[in-house]
Amino acid sequence: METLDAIFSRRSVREFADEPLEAEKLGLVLQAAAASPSGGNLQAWGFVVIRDASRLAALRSLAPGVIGRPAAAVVICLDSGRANRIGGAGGERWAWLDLGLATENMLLAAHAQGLGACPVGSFHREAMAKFLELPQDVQPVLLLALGVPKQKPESPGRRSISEVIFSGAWGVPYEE
Amino acid sequence: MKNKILQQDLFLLVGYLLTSAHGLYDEPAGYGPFRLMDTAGRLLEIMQDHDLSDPFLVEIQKEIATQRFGTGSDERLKAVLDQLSLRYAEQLQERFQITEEQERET
Repeated sequence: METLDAIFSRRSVREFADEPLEAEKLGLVLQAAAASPSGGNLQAWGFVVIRDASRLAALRSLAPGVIGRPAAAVVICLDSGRANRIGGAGGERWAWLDLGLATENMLLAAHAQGLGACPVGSFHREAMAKFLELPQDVQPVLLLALGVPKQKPESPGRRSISEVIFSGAWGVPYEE
Repeated sequence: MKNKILQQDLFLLVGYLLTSAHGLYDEPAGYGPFRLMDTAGRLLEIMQDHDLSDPFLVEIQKEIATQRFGTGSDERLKAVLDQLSLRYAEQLQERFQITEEQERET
């Protein structure tokens, strides 16, 4: 799949087929995360992969935003310790942004391989940290539900380009 | 063994309810009705997995599934919940109809 096709045809997939996830495909999704851009090359992130069925069921009980039954979940974590140690006073701020970049990379890598995925922010952070045995200075920020898609969702709609893209200054209409 | 699995499924549902309730303090208002409907869907799944369902409940479960995974608006969800509640009420009437004998006793 071409990059632009992947960007424009990707949808958040919440319903998954009861099929296993190919290890090779999951591996590429994870490699895509680790290859993401990172401010100051901090890479103050960590990704916890859950594949075991009973662990996934347990994770769903802490994450109401995981609506379907994914074949795997990746919990995207911020390593504040590393961000502060290496990145200075603003390190953590950049590290937060990096997590967004890594998430998009994973979403596109999943979609490009015919997988479905959905970023999920609705989960209990402290409970998740406990469940994953995260160190004190590591926190879960987002999680990715992944699997073979059982649905092909329609686009929920986007704000118009003229509403969000400006030329030269805020509010000045952009023209091609 | 069967009870043990049911107990575990319900244990996980309790966790889901608690973390949902906590999460709703910080989430959009429309998430509340959605979570409650999702809870009904999860409970119906458990009932089906443990042979506790029936054709009416399976039908309701399917409709909930359509909403759970769709991209409908809050208004659409409200209308669907209204319909489901009314269908439930019809079933309720059928299942809990007072017989003439019961009426005499009261």
